[in-house]
Amino acid sequence: MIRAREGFVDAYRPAIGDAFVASREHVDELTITVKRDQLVEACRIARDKFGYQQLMEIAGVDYPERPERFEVNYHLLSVTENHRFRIKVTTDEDTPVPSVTSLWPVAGWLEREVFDLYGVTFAGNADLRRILTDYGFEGYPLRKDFPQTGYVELRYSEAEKRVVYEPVELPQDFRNFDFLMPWEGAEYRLPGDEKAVGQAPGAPSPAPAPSAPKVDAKAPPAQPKTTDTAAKTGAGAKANKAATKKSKAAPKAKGEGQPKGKKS
Amino acid sequence: MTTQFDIMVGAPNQQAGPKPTAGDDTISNYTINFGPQHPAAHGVLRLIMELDGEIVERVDPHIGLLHRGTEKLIEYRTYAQALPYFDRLDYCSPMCMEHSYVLAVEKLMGLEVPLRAQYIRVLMAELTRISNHMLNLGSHIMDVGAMTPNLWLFEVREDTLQFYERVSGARMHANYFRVGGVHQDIPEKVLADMGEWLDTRLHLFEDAISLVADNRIFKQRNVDIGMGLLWPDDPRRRHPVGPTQIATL
Repeated sequence: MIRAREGFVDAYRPAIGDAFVASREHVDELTITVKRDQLVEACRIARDKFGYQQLMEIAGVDYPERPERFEVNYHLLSVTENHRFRIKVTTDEDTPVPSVTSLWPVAGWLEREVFDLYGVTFAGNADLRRILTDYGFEGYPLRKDFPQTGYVELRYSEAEKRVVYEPVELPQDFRNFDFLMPWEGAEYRLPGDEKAVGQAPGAPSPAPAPSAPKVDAKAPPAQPKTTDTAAKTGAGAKANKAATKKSKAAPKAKGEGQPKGKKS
Repeated sequence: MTTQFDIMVGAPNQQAGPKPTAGDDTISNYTINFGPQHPAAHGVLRLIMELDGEIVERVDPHIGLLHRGTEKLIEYRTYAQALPYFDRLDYCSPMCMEHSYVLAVEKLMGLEVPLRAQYIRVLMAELTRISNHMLNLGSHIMDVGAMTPNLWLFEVREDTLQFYERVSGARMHANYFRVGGVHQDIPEKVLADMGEWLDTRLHLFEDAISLVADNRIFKQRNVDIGMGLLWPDDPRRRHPVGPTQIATL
């Protein structure tokens, strides 16, 4: 159990000066938001003056509705004070976050991960390559607007004798098992219900195209469906007799005149 | 007598220029690819290594080949549905991963877990730790050249997996912990058998370790190997966790 560190925020806040933006303590976890351009200094003070020797993790978070949609969280650990807290900055797609590789060499890997998965860039990281995704991968998979299925899929092509990438093709719709208790206000919208309201043409479940011919179920069809008569098909006793007649080329039935000599 | 260096074989990172002739003593490092599938590697890991003789000067690890996008999958699931993914994150200690997850969810929800469930979870997590360490030690011993201890340690591990199966129904991917407790209570017989097992079966571990703990070859291959990486600067800046972190304290 990691206890709160008495008086830490009160000491840390003046130490980092106007870099401080906000601090929040929730379920015994302390988060301090700092200004992006003063991040390195805030981290240096935490490391050198407050004993947070280790950077355990850099975690990105994506909130697409915010103007600065990304959060970058630096999880710090003090092995001497037995305390953890996190420093948080916000950024958007284009603004780089200053790199803390000068303070913790491990940040090189962690920043690569956040860059790979969220597309957040880090100014001062000399080796900002993708780290987890495939060679030649495009897009940033942990952004909220990136679909779970991705955009390409991989298979071995027998024709080309190599692995090929193709646009992802899903024979089955995504199934959402969001089972709520009925008394908790589950909204019963089964797959296909949205067709009943009909969205705009071209939407995922579009309204029927206006040019589609209208089908009146009660009106008699233009060409009545009839059962074929024997006269039309030629079926009947005569045809049956013709079908049972053996042709001369047909093989004889079993046990009928098998040669018993040595010839076979 | 002239010394001849045969440095051309497969070495891609030599500078372009005149081909070195006999008598030249400039040797460039040797870049070699290791993996992603290699019988000496556990799992899929690709390393681009720069070798100076037998010394690895630089390594560029490509660690993403084992990444399965668990975070993205969990984005589309409820907390209860996400639980089985944690068995698969660290498949050497599945219940410990479940434990960390349910503890986090419980912390966020402010749940108080029944005492018996807490005991069961800690018991199973400790059992997981035994099974994890049997795998770790056994495979490590095998990697440096000894076969027998691994077989004996796997017997102990198999016993722990039997206990897994008796409480959860699955040998590895248990899906046993729940937010707020565990899926089912432990049968009393399992607890009794566990106590008996601790008394009677752990000698296998002692036997296995007795083969290597004072073994000359084992020590030649392990003592003071690989420590140089952490020491030059402050080792904590290299983000060690677990046993490595304890080694830096």
